[in-house]
Amino acid sequence: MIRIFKNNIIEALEALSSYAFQKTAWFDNNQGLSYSYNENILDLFYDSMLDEVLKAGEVVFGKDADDLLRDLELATAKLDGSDYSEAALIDLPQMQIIREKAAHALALIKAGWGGRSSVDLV
Amino acid sequence: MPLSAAMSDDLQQLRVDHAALRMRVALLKLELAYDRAVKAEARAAVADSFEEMLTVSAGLSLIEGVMRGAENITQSAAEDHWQNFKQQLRDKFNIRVVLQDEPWLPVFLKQREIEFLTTLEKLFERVDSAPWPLAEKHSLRHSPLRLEFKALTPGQSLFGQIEARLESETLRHAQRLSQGLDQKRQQAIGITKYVWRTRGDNKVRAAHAANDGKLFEWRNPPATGYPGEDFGCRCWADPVLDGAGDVFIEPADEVRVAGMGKVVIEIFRRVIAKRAARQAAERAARDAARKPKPAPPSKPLPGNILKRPKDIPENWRQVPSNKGEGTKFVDPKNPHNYVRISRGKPDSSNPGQSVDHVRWQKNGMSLDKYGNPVSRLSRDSHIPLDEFKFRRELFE
Repeated sequence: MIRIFKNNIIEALEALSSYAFQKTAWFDNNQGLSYSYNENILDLFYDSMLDEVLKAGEVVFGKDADDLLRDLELATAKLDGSDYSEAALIDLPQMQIIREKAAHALALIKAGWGGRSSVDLV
Repeated sequence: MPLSAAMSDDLQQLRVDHAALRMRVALLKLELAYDRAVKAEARAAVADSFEEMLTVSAGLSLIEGVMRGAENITQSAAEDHWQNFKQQLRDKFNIRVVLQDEPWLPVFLKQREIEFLTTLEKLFERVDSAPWPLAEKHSLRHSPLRLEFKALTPGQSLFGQIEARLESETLRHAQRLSQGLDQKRQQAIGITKYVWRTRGDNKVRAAHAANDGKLFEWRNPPATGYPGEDFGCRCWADPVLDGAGDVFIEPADEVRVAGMGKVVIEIFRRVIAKRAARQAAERAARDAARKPKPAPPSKPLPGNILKRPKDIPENWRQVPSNKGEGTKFVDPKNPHNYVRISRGKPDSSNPGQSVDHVRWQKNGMSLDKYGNPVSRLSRDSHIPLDEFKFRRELFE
C-alpha cells in the first residue's frame, strides 16, 4: 500500500492557494523562504506520490476532494512556472484559478470526509 | 236477417278488421324502423368510441415503445456526439484522437436517460388517464388530452399528435444530452472556455443571438444558461483553448489508449507548452526592447544538474523532473527518500531559486545540507548544488 503524507499535501496546498504567501516568498527576501511554483507542484503531486495514487483510482481524501485534486492537477499541468518571472506569474489569471482550486481542495481535506482511505494516509 | 244485410255487416266487420290489421302492420313497420334506426345509431356510437379507444391504445403502445428504447436512443445520441466532437477537434485543432474509456460517462448517460423516461412516463399517464371509451363523438376536443396537445391542429389525429410529441421529446433529449456531453468532454480535455454559436437564422431567440460570438467560461454560465440547454435551443459551444481566436495548430496525430482523456490532455499539454514558449519568447523580446540587457551571472552556474552527485547509491533510480528542468534520484526501497536537483532561474528575485540547487528528503521530511529536518519552504531546504554532499548514513 502506497504511503501518503497528509501534512505534506496540506502544506503544499496552503502554499499554492495563498497569494499573500507567494508574494512574501517571492518578493520579501528577509523571511528566509524559498518558494517556486514548479517545486510546489512537484511537492504536491509527484514527490508525494499523490499523482500516482489518483491515477490508479485510489481513494485518498474522499471522492469530492480527490476529483478536485485531479482537476487541479490538470490545471497545473497547463502552467509551467519556468516560462514566467515571479512578477508575471503571481498575477497570471491561470495562477488565480489554480489558487482557487487549491483553496477549495484544501478546505475539503481539512473538513474531512468520514470515510476510509484506500492508501496508507499518515 | 236478409243475406245481403248479413253479408254487409260481415263485410263491414272485415273492413274494420283489415284496417286495424293494416294499422298494426304499419305500426309494427314503424316500430321496426325505429328500432333499426336506434340500433344503427348505437352501433355508430360504439364504432366511434372503439376507434378512439384503438387510437389511444396505439398511442400508449407507441410511448411504451419509445420508453423501452430510451437506453438505445441515449447510447446512440452519445455515440453521435462523440463522432461530432472528434470531428470538431480534428477540424479546429487538427488533432485526431480515439478515446476508449470515459469512466464518468455511464452515470451521466443513465441520469439523462432517467430524465427522458420521467418525461415519457408523465406523457403516458396523461394519455392513459384520458376518459375513454369516449362516448360522445367530439369529446376529445374537450378532454384533458386536447389541453395536452393544444399546440396541434384540431383536425389532426390523436395518434399523430402523440407521435409528434414523442418526436419533439426525443429531439429535446438528444439536444440536452449533446449539450451536457459538450461540457463534460471539453472540460475533461482541459478546455475551460467556449464561444457561443447560433444557427444564424431567424428562429434564433433574441437572448441567444446576443450571445453569438461571445466568449464564455464553462464554470461561469451566462444568464441564458449553456448553449443547447434551453428547450429547443439549437445553439452550440465552440471550444477555444485560451481566449477567443487563440487557436494553435498541431500536426495530425492519432493515439489509442484506454485512459480517460489522457491522450487528448497530453496533446493539449504540448499545444499549450508551445503557446507558453511563444508567449515567453514574445515577452523576452518585449523586455529586451524596454530594458537594458541584464549583466551575465558573475560566475558560471556550477555543476551539471543531470550528473549523479557523489555518494548517491547506484541503485537509486534517476528519473527526469516532472516539471521544469531537473532530475531526481529515488531510493528504490522508499519513494519518499529522494534527492532532487533543479535548474536555477538566474533572474529569480529569490536567492534560493536563482542557482542550481538540491532538495532532498528522508521519509517525507525535507532536510537541510547537514541532514537536519527543515521546512520544505525554507531557504535552508534549497541547497546550492556545489554545497551539497550526500550522507549515506542517513539512509542506512
